[in-house]
Amino acid sequence: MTEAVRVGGICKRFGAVTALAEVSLRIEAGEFFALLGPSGCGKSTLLRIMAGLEHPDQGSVFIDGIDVGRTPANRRPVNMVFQSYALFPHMSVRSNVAYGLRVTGTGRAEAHERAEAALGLVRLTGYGERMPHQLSGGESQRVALARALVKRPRVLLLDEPLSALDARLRDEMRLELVTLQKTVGITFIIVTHDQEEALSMADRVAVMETGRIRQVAPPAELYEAPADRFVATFIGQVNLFPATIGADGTAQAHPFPGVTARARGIGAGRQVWIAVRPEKITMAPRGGVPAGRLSGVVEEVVYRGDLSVYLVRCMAGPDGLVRVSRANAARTADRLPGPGTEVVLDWAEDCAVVLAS
Amino acid sequence: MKPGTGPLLRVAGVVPGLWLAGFFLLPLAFVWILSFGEKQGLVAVDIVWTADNYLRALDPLYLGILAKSLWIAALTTVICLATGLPVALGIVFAPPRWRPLLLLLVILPFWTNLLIRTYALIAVLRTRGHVNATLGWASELFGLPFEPLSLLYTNTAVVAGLVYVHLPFMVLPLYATLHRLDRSLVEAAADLGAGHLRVCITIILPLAVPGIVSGSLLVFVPALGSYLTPDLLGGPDSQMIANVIERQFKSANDWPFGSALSFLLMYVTFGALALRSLSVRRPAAR
Ligand SMILES: Nc1ncnc2c1ncn2[C@@H]1O[C@H](COP(=O)(O)OP(=O)(O)O)[C@@H](O)[C@H]1O
Ligand SMILES: [Mg+2]
Repeated sequence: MTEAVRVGGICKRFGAVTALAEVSLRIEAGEFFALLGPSGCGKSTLLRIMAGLEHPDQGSVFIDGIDVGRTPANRRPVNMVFQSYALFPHMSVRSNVAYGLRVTGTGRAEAHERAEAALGLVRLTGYGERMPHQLSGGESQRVALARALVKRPRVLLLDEPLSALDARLRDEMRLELVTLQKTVGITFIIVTHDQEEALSMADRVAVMETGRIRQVAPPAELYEAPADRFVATFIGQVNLFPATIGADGTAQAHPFPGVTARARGIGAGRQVWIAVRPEKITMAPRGGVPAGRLSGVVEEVVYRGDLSVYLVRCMAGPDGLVRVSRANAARTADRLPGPGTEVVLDWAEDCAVVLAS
Repeated sequence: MKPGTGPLLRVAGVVPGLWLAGFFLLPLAFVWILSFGEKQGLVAVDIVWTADNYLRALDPLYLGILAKSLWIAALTTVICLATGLPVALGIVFAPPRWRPLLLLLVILPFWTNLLIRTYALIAVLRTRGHVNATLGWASELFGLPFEPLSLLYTNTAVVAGLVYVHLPFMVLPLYATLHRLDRSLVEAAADLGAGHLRVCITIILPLAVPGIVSGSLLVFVPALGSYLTPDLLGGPDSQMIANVIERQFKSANDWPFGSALSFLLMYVTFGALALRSLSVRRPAAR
């Protein structure tokens, strides 16, 4: 695989705020890559550094293997879709899309022809004459996409492209973006704070927290084998049990003798966490078959349609609640264990993950 | 509006209304009536509802001075725009902590009396003034012959003085408009491949039109009616319409004619304002 973008040791401060601290990343050509993290963690800053709109205090940016540290934004082979779309309000849709071609010397006729083709690509044929203020949010977004794609960049940078759309449109656009990326074959780097968005669209995801990258992995790996507590809790729901590594290398949760997990490469005596996802846990009425790993009483049931979430109290105190989710495979809700039911919880050994930090 | 606040607001509206009537509309009406009068002796004026004063004001002599005033005001506006735009852009794109200081430097001349500033300009422009001294020193340095330029008491001096006095009126509205401009538009243009100059011409300038229009108006209208600057910096041929008006009220003691000339100037100003409202309405209609 060839690399599309590589950043190394990027540091960026705004006054007292450290936006990025030693960020290194390699993104392959043709990849759909997501930068995921809570608001303010430095995702946009990293994207803007790739685009050349911001300059790092330290570190280097390579695009297609070429150091672009001294290349201004207007000469980098990347284009950006801005969070606010940033459509030029005084130009028609066609002029907006053709702008990037016109300023780099493409003739009017060819620029307009290619602009129309790009508008077709985002299913906006016939919108060329409109002004930006006559467009809906979804249409504006697609014009912004067309305007960037018409330049045929090596890399397309998208800063929270779906955040301004309503929920239904957002779902549609997710699929559309993935299809579009496959069609044009351009490397996409998308910034988002929405984990569902990142998991459902990207080939690989980088999870960021306060200016650092916590983990870079494909979505399934991120979910099933999180690198640390931050990643585990940021993506999906998780039960965390404080534990200690025993002499045999097994992690043992403190008040719960049944909760153990195999740890690899962590020294004995270390304080760790055992993480178990709610949907990996099986739940059965007490007094039935085996004893299970935990026993407790259902305290609350949250019905979610496709699944129900059970909060099972296994111990007094705030840490004593275990979250279990079960698909509502049967139709009637009567058969669900209600609050007060005594249950035993169990899970397959390999479903428990040890987190060192 | 909340029901209880209605009467209060109405009362509050009365005060500026009275102010406007008492100190603006009433004197204006007085001058308007005067412009239809006839001079009788040294101080007496008969209001005879004659249009003679206006007909006299349309004499080529006065129309010529009005045209010249328009030309000087327009030139002043264009020069203010050409210098004010880079200044405003510079302030907008300066680091945020520098902005208050730079704005202060633009406003600072306001805190000095116009008369003092104009006399200071005389000291700069006169034959043995600072400009000539600097030029003389520079030509001596390069061993060139130097003849002091006569800068003062020319039309050039008038335009220079008007530009100096009115520049803040151009910079401030331009700054306000450019400051509000969405920064991501500039970034998007750069991202799409446009260089600095291209971004300025294709994005910033078109979006700054409202600021350009209000700034130009704020310069053009007072420059058209300016009196002190041509009086002090201008030569015998650089009098503007306001100087003529002043002469009617004072040395010529012809109040009716002065009033008619004043109203002529006001109608021209209204014309400029009408042009502006046209230019503002056009983008909305698109
Ligand atoms: N131009 C700027 N000036 C000052 N602080 C900034 C600027 N841009 C970003 N920051 C700060 O840097 C941090 C990271 O910002 P950003 O990259 O926009 O985060 P994200 O996109 O992940 O929400 C935030 O704390 C933000 O306040
Ligand atoms: Mg952001």
